[in-house]
Amino acid sequence: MQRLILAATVLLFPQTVFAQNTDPTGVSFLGWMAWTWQTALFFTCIAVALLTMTVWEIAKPGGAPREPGLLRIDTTRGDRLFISLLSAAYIHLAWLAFFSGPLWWASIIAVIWAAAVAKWV
Amino acid sequence: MNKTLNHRAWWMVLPVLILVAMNAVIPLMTVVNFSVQEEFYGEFSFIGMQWFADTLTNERFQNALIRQLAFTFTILLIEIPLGVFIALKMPRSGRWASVCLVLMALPLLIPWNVVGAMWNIYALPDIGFMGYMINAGAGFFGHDPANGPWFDYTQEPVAAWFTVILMDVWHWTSLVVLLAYAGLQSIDNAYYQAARIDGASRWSVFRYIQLPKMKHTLTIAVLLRFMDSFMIYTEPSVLTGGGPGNSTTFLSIDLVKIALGQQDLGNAAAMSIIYFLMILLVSWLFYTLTMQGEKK
Repeated sequence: MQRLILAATVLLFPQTVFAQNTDPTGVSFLGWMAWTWQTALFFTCIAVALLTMTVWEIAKPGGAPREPGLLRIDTTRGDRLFISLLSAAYIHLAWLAFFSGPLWWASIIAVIWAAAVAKWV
Repeated sequence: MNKTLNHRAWWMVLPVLILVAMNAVIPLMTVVNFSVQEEFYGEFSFIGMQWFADTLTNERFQNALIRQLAFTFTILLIEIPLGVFIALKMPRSGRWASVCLVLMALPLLIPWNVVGAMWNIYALPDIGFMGYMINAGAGFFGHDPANGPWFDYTQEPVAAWFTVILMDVWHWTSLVVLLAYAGLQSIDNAYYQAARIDGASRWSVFRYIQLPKMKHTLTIAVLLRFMDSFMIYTEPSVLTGGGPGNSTTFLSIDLVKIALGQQDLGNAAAMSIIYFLMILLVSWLFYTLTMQGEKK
């Protein structure tokens, strides 16, 4: 029964909570946040990454600490994820500021950079 | 001894999670949503990263950022050495130590808008004590009052900057003093005794004993002052309102002008995220450097 309620909540929650509040009299808890599927996908990816890291940490505790790499700092796998995400944001901003090509190039650079961070930082 | 593993303790974290969600995560998610959309009379349309591109290439944003960095580094260059100097000169114990500590804490207790209002009046060229005295001094050195006041922060950008920086130094140097003082108090007397036996000079004591021992608290002081000054809004807003012209319009003042003055939500949201990323990067750098230093 508990699982059924949980499943129903998971299925119904996003629709009722995140639905766009187009009707001014309609009740929408988070509709005022003006969700788009792109931003929802973005935050889902972040949430999935955090959940994966949590599960990973439970399965293999310790955060895989590493001796100083290229940046000369001790990092755990969580640190490396944070560095990758923050770098990705800056790479995209730099692309927007200095280049006019498609933003996918920045995304590709960010992914390569994230792999490099995971390997060498 | 075997300990019982009880995961119910995790429920104790729930209140703080709700609090952080309400005052940080949900507002941030809203800002992200707004930053990729154009709002027109309550209708939203997705425009991708256009607001970010506009903001980053906007001269107004670039100028506000340059002013912000200039302000932050100027006050850091003044407040950190001045704070350390005052802390070194303060008595270590006795009644006067308590008196000094209370005096130092006073500026920190004053609400930020009151600080702005105080300096607004204090620096006025005609009725403010500071403004009046500076202009009287300028008159003494040959400035003709018929040409208008020599110092007028409501009209002159240099005077406005001088007043804003002086106000910040007055308001926040105490924080550096108190942190540096705490660092100094934690130094064991044995170090000073050893230095005396070795015949170390005053400068050597500072350079090789006091400064290394204060390193941790000074890092915190620099971090706090960087963050606070980078996000400064209330004091300059009350004092100069960002003027004259845009000369003291720092990032936060510009952001409020765009968000509330122009109701340009998408632009303001993109600017907020860029602003947030800058703060996040510097916070992470300071945190990492501090933690690495502690480990060593």
